[in-house]
Amino acid sequence: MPPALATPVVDPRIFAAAGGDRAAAQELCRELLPRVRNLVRYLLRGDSRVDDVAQEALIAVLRGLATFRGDGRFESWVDRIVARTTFAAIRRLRAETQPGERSAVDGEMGGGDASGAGGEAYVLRRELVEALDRLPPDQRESLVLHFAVGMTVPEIADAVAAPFETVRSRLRLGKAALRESLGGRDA
Amino acid sequence: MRDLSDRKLGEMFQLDDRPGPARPADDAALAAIIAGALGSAGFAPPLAASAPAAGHGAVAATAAKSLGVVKLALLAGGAAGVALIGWVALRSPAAPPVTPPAAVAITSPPPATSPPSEPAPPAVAAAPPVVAPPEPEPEIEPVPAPATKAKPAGHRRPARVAVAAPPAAVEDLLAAANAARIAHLWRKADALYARVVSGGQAELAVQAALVASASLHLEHLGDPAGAVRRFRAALAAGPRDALAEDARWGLAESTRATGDADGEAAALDDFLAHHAGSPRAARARARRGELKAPP
Repeated sequence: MPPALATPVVDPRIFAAAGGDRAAAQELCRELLPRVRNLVRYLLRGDSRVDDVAQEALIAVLRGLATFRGDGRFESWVDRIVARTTFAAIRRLRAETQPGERSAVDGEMGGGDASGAGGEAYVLRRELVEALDRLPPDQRESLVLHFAVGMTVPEIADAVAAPFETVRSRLRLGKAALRESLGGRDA
Repeated sequence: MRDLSDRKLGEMFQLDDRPGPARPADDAALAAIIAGALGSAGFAPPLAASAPAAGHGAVAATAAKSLGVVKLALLAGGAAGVALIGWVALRSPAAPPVTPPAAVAITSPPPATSPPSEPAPPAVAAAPPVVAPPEPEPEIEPVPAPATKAKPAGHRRPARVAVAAPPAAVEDLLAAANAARIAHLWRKADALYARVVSGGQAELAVQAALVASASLHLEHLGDPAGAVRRFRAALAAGPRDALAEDARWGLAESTRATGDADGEAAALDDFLAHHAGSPRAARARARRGELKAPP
């Protein structure tokens, strides 16, 4: 049996970066950053904090590289760290908000600059994320973890410390809201 | 009607190479995020390729003198003239000094009360005395980039400078950026600094460009959060001493502008821990005292 089928090939830069190789880490960051920024934006309401949180997420990824065992896709491992970091940032931003004040994560809605900066995909995703901005945080969280990160309902339930049925309900309600928000318009 | 089956939703959410939903960011901003992350995660800043070897006394002395020129430029003119001067002075200790008369003034720095945003008379004297109206800014004009192809008459570059273009000499880019800055073409200057940062081939130049770009974001582009990222990146990316004082001071000012009192206090503490003898130290202590005082 060819060894490649039995052993997943791990990008050698991951191990180099885990060992302190700055150049390897920098290359990985360059490749990962667009994905990280996009996932953070899916999870975070509004655009203004995306880069700050993306940087926090990259730091968490870099610090955790030594724990990556290579038994799954590196990007999936990164996505889960990014999601955890973003949830922590959201909680922190809410906690920093004074009573009666809207927090930075709740107060900003995505502004519509879907002006074709990146073609049709960009326009569609801006519409999608602006629809997400209108959803309750719990539904948004479940939708993003399911559709963007690829987590199953039990995995989401475990990650957000909520009962299985609750997560399933959030997904159902979230999908219905997205369909109502986006589905009535022509693509 | 749009098909919004689960499969379609999954495709819309997919994290692939296509852009969105995060807004596009310029290359300098992305480089700043990465440099800051690497620094915070404990990756040692790269040493400059042309840094003097330890133990070479004369070379080290020249480097120290060059660093003084950078600091003088900052004290006299804020970051306005620092990028070009800083890079040229630091890039090669053996290189001939670019501002010989001004270098004498290193031994007698201006008083601490000098506002950092005043013009830098001796250090940037070589820059053309451009008098131009401030904002609104015109479109970005072609950048002096020797390797680019000749354009037909009337051709105008798109507003975002293509970083992938063949790199112009770092000195040319920094000189063009500083000239743009003097002419109050803030975004053009920032785009040029971004090309230096994206080039990444000269860490000292990258650090100088990050400090200058951060100052633009703080003072002229209304983006203190962007300034914070760039100052942090400058601290993480650059050589240990060069421009660190200015980056730390800028970080304190930027965090203050974002309304982050804890961040400002931490930045001031960091500044005082590293630069207690700086002319800015008194202001730093005073501001630190204000932050400690009850509201």
